[in-house]
Amino acid sequence: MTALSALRLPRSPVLVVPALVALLVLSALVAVTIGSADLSLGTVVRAVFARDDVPLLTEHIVWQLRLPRIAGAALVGAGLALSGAVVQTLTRNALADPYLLGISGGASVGAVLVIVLGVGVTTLGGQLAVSLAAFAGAVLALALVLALATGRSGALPPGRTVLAGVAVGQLAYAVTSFVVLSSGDSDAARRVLRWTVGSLAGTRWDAVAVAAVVVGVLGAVVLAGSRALDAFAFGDRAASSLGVPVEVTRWVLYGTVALLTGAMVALAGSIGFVGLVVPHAVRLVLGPLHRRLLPVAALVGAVFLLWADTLARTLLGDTEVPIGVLTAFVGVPLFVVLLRRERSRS
Amino acid sequence: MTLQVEGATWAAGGRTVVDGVGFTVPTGGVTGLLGPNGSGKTSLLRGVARLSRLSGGSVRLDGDDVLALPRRALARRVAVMEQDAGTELDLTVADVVGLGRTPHRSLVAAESDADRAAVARAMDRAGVTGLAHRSWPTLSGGERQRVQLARALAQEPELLVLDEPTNHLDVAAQLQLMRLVREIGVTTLAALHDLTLAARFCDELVVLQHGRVAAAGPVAEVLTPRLLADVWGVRGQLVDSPFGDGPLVAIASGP
Repeated sequence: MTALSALRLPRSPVLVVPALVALLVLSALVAVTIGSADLSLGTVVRAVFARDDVPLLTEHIVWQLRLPRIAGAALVGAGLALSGAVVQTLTRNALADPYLLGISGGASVGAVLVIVLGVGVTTLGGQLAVSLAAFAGAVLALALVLALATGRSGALPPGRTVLAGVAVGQLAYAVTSFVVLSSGDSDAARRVLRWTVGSLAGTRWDAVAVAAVVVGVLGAVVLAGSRALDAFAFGDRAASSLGVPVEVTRWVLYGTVALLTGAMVALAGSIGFVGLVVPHAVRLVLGPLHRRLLPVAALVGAVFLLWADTLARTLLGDTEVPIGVLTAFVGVPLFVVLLRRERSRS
Repeated sequence: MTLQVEGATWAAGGRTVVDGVGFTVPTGGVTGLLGPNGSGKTSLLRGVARLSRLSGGSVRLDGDDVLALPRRALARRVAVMEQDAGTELDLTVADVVGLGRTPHRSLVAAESDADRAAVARAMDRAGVTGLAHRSWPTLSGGERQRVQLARALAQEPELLVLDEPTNHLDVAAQLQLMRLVREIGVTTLAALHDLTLAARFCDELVVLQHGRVAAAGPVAEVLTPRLLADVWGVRGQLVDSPFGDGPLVAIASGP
């Protein structure tokens, strides 16, 4: 048996899931201590679990500044990892990520219309307008992809879906570039770029609450699809012969993933690599069955993005490092290690 | 369990591939579906198992209309082994066999004791228990087909539909698989290319030519020199095996 088999954890999530939940909670508490105001773990635990026992300023830092951002990061990480896992299975493409299907492109178009042209800013306020426009753009883009990919019978062949996603993504990129370049606003490009690489700065509890509901509800839908997703292992006909309604499953899960990814992008911009690397890494360790893969990928994604965001807000003192840059810096080497390990195995 | 097919028709791209095919698969028996390449075997099997939609005709399982059954209910009664089914995924043998329980579970129900027992029984019957923890990509062709058979058995079906299950297998693996199919005792409809395998392991044969039934019935009545000449264009006949264990199909090397 090879290195990876030895590394393979018990293939039942029974032990892995509670361990990761504990790691997530611990990570959150430790991450709260880190920042320009140095807090001890004891202070943080008291501030979180016995709110009256700490100075007002500490309580404000913990509850209003750091915790919502940490919770937001964890939720976005979970949402993107879940979306990535599902898209990889449905498109039968290990290199797929949640943005493959034009979702991030569509979200960018929406965000750029607000950031550069100011659409809707006066009525909704800047941040909310950007979020809503990004969400709408993401969902519209995926709807367009699915409409282009579907045949008369309503079938969604994986190859055509990926191609349609690439086409719509390119179109969205063209629109975004055109709007930015033709605006004559040199600062616009910077703001758009900053939005594109993603950020969780300024995350507030109301946004976290929305994200929690979205990840909870849509995550439950995705988890309920575990068995159907497993049945796709040997292809569409095999899934069909196991009693799975192939096209209904595809439409429902693509739709769910679009809403989920759209909401995550609306909250934090299109943070890359989480949706690609995390499901892939979990699959290499735990195997591809979704009832193990999905919950574990969600938790690993949460822990991963939580720490990436903690680094993003602290690495350079008061200057934010774009989180998308960090996820790529951490994600790419991790990915290379996993790929090499897999190659040595096959 | 008896399978009755009547007037099965399937067309693709303006070409009628399966043209009014009717036959019966008797309970507990193994029925071989024979025919040259392109005669419609695979299309017929897919139509029968409702993996594609027949444009006409009826398929009945003990009188129940297969074309009207809910898909999950159908998957609990009919299991399919497709030609060269494969995956890139690093699934273990136990995982693959476990997929056979899909139609028996609701979306959210956890694996039950009945599921685990059915998987263990299926692996035992197909002789793959020793492979349970092996990864799919590491299996040989013969092992893969036996694992697929175990997966099909885990569905606890009344009817097995096999599409060229011995394709690409070496001769020992071919015999091993066909012996297994016989021993299992589940009513089976199997498309086969090898006439001798068909003659030795099937009770009845259905021969397709250009999407129509050219002959059907017991092996000795179907595989006549006349039929071999008409359908495959070869000179051949059934002969007794020198080992005294059933018929062989002898084929002349020239016309």
